[in-house]
Amino acid sequence: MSATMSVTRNIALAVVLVLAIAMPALAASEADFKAAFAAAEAAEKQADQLRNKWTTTETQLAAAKKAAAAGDFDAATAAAKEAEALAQASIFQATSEKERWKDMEIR
Amino acid sequence: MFATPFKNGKTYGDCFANKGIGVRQNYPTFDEKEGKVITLELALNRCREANGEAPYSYLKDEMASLTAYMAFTSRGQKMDIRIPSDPRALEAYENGKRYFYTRRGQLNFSCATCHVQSPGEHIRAEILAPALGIMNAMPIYRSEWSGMGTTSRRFLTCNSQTRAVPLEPQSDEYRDLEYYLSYVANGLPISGPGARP
Repeated sequence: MSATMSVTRNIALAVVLVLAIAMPALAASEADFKAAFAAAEAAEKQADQLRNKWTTTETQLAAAKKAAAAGDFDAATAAAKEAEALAQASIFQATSEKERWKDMEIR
Repeated sequence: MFATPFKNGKTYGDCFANKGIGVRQNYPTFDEKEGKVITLELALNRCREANGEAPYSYLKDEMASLTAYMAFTSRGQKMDIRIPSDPRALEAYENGKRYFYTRRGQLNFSCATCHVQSPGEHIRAEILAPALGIMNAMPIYRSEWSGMGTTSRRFLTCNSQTRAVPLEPQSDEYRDLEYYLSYVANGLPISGPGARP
């Protein structure tokens, strides 16, 4: 391997490393929070229609709102994403239980 | 409280068969006119409203006291819940059964998880009661509450303990659940008001 190729490879590696370290550190914006919160609210609305909301989803939604109000959009976005994941899980539960409840029935 | 007349002079007794004495075992009933389940708590509040009084909270205090008295006057009577020949009544019973066995909340528990699979076991300091006859002891004193609670209160707290957002008291789901649980306890004596650790 030539010296030129080695230098080029090292520079490329350094760039990748810098990007990898820097990317997660990029702060979430208000727009990121709003998008994440809207997705979470939409999922929770669906869970509500299925009469199967979870308390933990509500807690995360409230935490997201509180963090956003304080201007901490990193925490707000993270909480909103967590709320959406929980809401999606509650939707899955309600949907799958439409038939699965019969497995538990005493006959 | 039960015998004290409303402002119009009437009493709770005027809203119930046998003046409300010894009738606990007949609730919930299915109202074919309305097409829905009528629980004792609902009947008591409807009685109040029909006589110009504000309804009580479904969860504790006055409602727990009134149902405790009515249960006491019915002790020893066998639960006697009827499903009339009305497809809506059978549907209410089936809905109650489905609610009982359906897993909900982040902990993924159904009512049956505790009250069919694990009666007698402990959840922390609480001993789980069997589903069969669980309604016969209502309302109950619970150490966790440091006071009396109604059937509505028990349903709401059961839900929240599994990290499910409780429904509103006396929602159709809870009324149907009480109908199912009471029907399967037919023949077992009323023992309320009860107590739980």
